[in-house]
Amino acid sequence: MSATADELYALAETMPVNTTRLETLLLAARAADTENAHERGIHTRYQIYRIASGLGRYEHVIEAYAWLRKAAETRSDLLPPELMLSIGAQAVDNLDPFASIPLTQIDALYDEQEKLHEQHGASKRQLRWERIFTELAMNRLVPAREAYEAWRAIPATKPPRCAACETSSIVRYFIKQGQIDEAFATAEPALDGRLKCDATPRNIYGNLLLTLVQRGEWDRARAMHTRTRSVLMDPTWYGSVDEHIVFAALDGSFTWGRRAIEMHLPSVLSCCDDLTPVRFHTSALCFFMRLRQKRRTVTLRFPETAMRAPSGVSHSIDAVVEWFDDAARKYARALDARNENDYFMRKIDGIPDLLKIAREA
Amino acid sequence: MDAFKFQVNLGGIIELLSDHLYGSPEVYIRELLQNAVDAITARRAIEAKHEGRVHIDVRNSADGGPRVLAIHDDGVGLTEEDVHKVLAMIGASSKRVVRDSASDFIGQFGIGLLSCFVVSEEIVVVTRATGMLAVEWRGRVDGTYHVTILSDSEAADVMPHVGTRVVLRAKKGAEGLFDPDRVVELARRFGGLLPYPIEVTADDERTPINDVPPPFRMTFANEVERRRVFLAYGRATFGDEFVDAIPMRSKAGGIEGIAYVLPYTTNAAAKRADRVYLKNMLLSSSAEQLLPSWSFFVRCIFNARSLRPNAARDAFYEDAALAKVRDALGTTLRDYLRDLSGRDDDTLHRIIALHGLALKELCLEDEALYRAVADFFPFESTRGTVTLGELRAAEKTIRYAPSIDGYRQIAHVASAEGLTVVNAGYVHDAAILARLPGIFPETRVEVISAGALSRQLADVTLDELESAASFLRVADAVLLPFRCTAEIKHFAPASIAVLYTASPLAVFRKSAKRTSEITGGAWGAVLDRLVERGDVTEAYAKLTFNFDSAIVQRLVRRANERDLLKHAIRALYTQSLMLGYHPLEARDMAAMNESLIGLVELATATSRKPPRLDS
Repeated sequence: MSATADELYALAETMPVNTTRLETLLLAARAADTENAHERGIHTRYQIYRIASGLGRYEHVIEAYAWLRKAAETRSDLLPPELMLSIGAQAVDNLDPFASIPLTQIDALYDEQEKLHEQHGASKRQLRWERIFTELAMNRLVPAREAYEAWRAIPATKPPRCAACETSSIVRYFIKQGQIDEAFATAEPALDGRLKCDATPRNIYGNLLLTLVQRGEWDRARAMHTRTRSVLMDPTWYGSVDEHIVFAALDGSFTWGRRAIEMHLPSVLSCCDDLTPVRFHTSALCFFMRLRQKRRTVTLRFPETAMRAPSGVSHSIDAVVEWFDDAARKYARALDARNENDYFMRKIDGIPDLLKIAREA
Repeated sequence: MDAFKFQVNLGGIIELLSDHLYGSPEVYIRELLQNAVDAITARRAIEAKHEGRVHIDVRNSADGGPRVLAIHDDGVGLTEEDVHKVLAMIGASSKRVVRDSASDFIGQFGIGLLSCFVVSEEIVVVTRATGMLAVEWRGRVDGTYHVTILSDSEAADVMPHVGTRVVLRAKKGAEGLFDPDRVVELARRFGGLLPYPIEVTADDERTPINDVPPPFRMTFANEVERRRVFLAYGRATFGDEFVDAIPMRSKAGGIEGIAYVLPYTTNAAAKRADRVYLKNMLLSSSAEQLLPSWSFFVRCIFNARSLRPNAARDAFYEDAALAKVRDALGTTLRDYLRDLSGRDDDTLHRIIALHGLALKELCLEDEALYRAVADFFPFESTRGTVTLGELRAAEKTIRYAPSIDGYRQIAHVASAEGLTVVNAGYVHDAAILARLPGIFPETRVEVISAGALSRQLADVTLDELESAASFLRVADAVLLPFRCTAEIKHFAPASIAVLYTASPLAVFRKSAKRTSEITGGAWGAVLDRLVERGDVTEAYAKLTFNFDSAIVQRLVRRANERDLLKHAIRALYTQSLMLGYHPLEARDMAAMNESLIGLVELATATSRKPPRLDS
């Protein structure tokens, strides 16, 4: 009941990368602070930074980085400048999911990172890379393209940390830019198994699902969905579950979709950021609209913070659709306002058109 | 356009292949044995009754120089034409035409003999094919070679019959690899499973290498005997007293072998170290590819008949056949675990105690396995450590806290309230419990948090609430700056005055606020924006006062003593934070100090009647 920071850290080390490990590390960090174990605190925050990055728990990435920045002032032996520059570049890329952080603040922090890189004579290639995906996440396609060109203009002096993940990110970039042929060409080594890692090609499958459906390649999309669906059932790992829920809706895979929504909704509701809920609620909205279209009903348990109904009470599909519609629009409005575009609202408004593909299938 | 040919530096290529392709110079014995066995296999294809044998001779050189190793086989032998084609051309293999992985030949790349240059400056091969004169080939590490046809009289001593003899002289630095004991050890390691008799002679002492077949090729009178022999073999091979031994067979890949259940807990991320043979020749002692990732609780010894090796022959080529083998072996392991339930519960208990993590992961994928073994999983709970089976028998609804932190916040209160709550904060536990109703519909599960628990606590009556109204008003006002609200309930034990509960958002808010205070600057401002966003009530924590606590009763009665109440509530609040390992923000610290000083001042100012709050 009162494990020490060291014990909690060791326990976390035995766990796979999921939110349980992250929560254990967060506990370890708190214990380290209580014990005044500064060095253990540094190691723990660095692990939190890494694990939270992988899990898309942006708020913990930001907090851990902010803490490490302060610690680096006195412990440059553990946190040398080159490490801080590298993780600083990534930390800035974790700001866009929060609608409360204005564009000007994101720009200012990128400018600060630019200056830090110049001060230390470090290559800005990674910084440019992170910028691509910050802009992409904010659906600002022109700045994303500029950042992409700027990244390509800086020669790589060392291989990427993970070639498979880099490929997967470039595929995402091309998909979002509408360069579908380039996306498939880039994805090829990952799709035929030559390039893989813990996350790839699963993450590429998620990116390609909807594009494949739009091209009528249902069998290929279904194969990718099938290969990923069991992994997505881990409630402690979000991954690209929204893209698969949309596919399940279009493909009529209602049992899986129901389970995925039931499994992930509690953690989505406790998210601190705005991006995860808007993505998830929009996909769930698509799913329930498809159910309504097919006049189907499902049994699933909602957590008490959603729908706010006593257990055992049934909701009409209309009520559920309305709840997800409201929830998705709340986050979409906030993010679109910050991003100065209407991407997320258009996505919600476009669901009826998307469902027409399903009818034709 | 003119076509040009690459110029190849033969000496450099030999050095590159021999020094860098192979992971260790020890493999020279493997390559020699492999060529010998392939030669015998080829001869048996022509003469089915030919038995075949391999003999290795290690002796001191007659000239007092370094030791000499000679390996002799009575296999098919090479003609002069073969010698030019096969021994002198890198990449040419006598087995290339039958490259199919299902063939009986072990080698296939035509580069194996090169490994001998790692240990010897010169390789001498004397070989004789049926009805032909013997041929001597001398190759040197600089890429030159000489071929001599030997007359029958010249070959009488070295190669009177069909077969091949390879002679190596230890080069500087490789003398240890020609030590007789080392040669015997290497021959056993690489060739212990080979099908033809192998013998090593050194200083007139003959040592058989493979006279005892591996136990997975033996037949046994009964299961007990089989298990005993398997475990003894595991002990001799790996040096561990394994928990159990599982026979493994798969048509895919032609696999036969044994999986041993490790007697200690291993990390899921730890490297596997399976001992794998290909066509009876050791491929690797640290293979990682043959079993699924979840099977990290076993260590295996396998022979594969029809998988493809890579060029260095230290791993399998990753292809569809290997994936099929992995699936088949995974199924065998699952079947074993399913079968163990009911047949040998003690062993299952032991395996779960050691390798529960891997089994839980497996159960999440495999419903039948879940049904068979999940009842044996132990869980930490407010009733102590109990198995899922015991929980299912005792509770219609199993309540669990999905995080260690959440469990810690509520365990003592839940326990006193007579509620059984499971700590599902460890890896896979929450997922295992969440899956329970899908497998056993008669059992319900409920996620319980500190917030949910506080909602389950007994409400105070309207009269009691009225009596505490002034107190609660003050408490709400005192706690507001800390983003905390107050409520009052009945709960046990009475010794606990307050229960602090916070949503994950509130916990993060508190932690981020503290980091913002430490960091300041631009990133402090970012954190401030994060903690100020979102649904405000979600980010609020709750302090539940226990109406049954004597200290709370006294405070309720003295609700008009504002100073006393303010200091006491702040003290209880900060104490509850510390008990729950929540970080103290600057204002929490200030509140703690102020409340202590305030209480001391109150106590010392009223000397005759100090406000005793702990009676």
